[in-house]
Formats: sequence, C-alpha cells, structure tokens
Amino acid sequence: MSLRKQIKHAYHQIHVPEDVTERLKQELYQKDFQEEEFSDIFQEEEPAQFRFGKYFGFLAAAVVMGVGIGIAASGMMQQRENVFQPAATVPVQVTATENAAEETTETYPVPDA
Amino acid sequence: MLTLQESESNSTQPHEIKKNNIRMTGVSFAVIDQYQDMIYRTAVTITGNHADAEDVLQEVFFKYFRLHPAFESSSHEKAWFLRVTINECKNLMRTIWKRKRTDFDPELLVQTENPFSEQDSAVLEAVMHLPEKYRIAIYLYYYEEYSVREIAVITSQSEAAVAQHLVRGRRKLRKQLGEELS
Repeated sequence: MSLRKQIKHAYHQIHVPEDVTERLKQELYQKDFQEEEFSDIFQEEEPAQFRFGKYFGFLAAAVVMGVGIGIAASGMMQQRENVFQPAATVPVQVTATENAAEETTETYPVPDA
Repeated sequence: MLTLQESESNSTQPHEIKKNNIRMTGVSFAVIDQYQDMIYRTAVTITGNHADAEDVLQEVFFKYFRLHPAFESSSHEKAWFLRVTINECKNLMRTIWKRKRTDFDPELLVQTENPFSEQDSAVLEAVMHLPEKYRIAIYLYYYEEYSVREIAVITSQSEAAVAQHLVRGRRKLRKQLGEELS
C-alpha cells in the first residue's frame, strides 16, 4: 500500500465524537438565540433624535438633583454650625445657694410698648 | 458582534435582520457537519490530543459564526477553515504549559469510537512523532490532497519551505515505518 493510502486510511478513522458535535451545536444555538434576543431589543429602540433627547433629559435631571442635594447638604452643615456649642462656652451651672439672691433681685429691662 | 453591527446599519429594516439571523443559524449548522471532521483532524495533527482539538474546533466555529465571512467558492471556504484552524492551534500551543507538554498523546489512539488497526496506529503514531511543520505539510498533502503551492498559501510559507518539509517528513516517516511503506 502506498504512503498516501496508508495515511488516508489512518486519518479516516479520526472523527469528531458525537457528544462534542451536539455540545457545539447547542452552544452555537444558544449564542445565536442570545444575539437574536439582543437584536429584538435593538429593533424596538426609538429613533436616534429622541434617544439623544432622552439622554439630555437624564443628564439635566441628574444635574438638578445634584445641585439640590448640594444646597440641602450645605444648609444642613450651616445649621449644624449654629447649633453646635463647644464645651468651653457652655455656661457653668451654678448652685442655687450662691446665686439665689442675685436671681431673685435681678431685674430685666422691659421694652417700651 | 457582526449581527449587531449589521442591525445598527440597517435599523430601518428590522425584519430583514431577523431573517438573516435565522439564515445564519441554518448555514452554520450545515457547515459544522461539512467541515467538523476536517477541522478536528487538522487540530489533532497539530496539537496531538483530543482535548485541545475539541477546543480548537469550538473556537473555529465560534469565529466563523461571529464573522460569517463571504466566500467565492467552496474551496475558498475550506481553505479559510484550514487557515483559521492552523492559527488557532498555534495560538493554543504558544502557551508555556502547552510547549512543555509532549506533542503526541497515546490516548489519541484509544479514545476514538472505532479502534485503530495495528497498521493505522503505526502510521498515525509515526506522523504524530514528526515535528509540527512536517506533520501539517504531510497531512495537507496526503490526506487533503492539496498541492505544494496551495499548502504554501494556507500555511503562509514559501513553496520551497513546504516542499522541503514534505521531503524531510516523508523521509522520516519511511525511516520510522520501515521499508513496507516504500
């Protein structure tokens, strides 16, 4: 037998196992199915102009929300600053016996009506 | 990926795109039946084992499915598959781990459904023990019946190099298999 025939005969025994073929077809089918699904989504999309308008709308809404949140946060910070009193400035609580007379005799100016 | 690009450019004709998708599936499946053995044999010839050949087979069809190239003829299509298979095998063999492994896996002769005859085993083993460049030249020349010029185009080599690989491969084969082959 010639070399060509021998090589041909030997190689002819090599085949793809059936389970490999089935698995490959299955995977290709799934891939195709996914792409088809994706193309369906794409087909349902709006025209380009409207799509850009929508993006700008989202962008504007995001900017407005950001500014609003910023203003609110700064307001809260300011409020927090006013309320805050360090321990050093808190008036010392005096005992009632020491200042009882002062408290009773102390007068406050009454504004004119 | 290409499907998406196509659909983007033809977004005014959604039904046409869907039709193309279905058509692509049908063509791919027919192509699998037509070329899977050839791709598998080529991959086995280069990688020397079933597991790598299966990986290559999968990669080649994924590539075909993704690109869906247009061919002038069936011979052009066959040559494309061979070229891509060889490239995929080379990519796979580039890793250090693969390089360190021995080329020929004796399991190759056991895993097939139809057991090899003694002579077939001897021939296949002799071919698998050749250096990679000789192996692929021998396979394309003797099994796929390509000419030296065609092999040169498929493997991106000069005709002289392919002819030299064939001569040396044949000489080594004869040495290994003894006088009965001559």
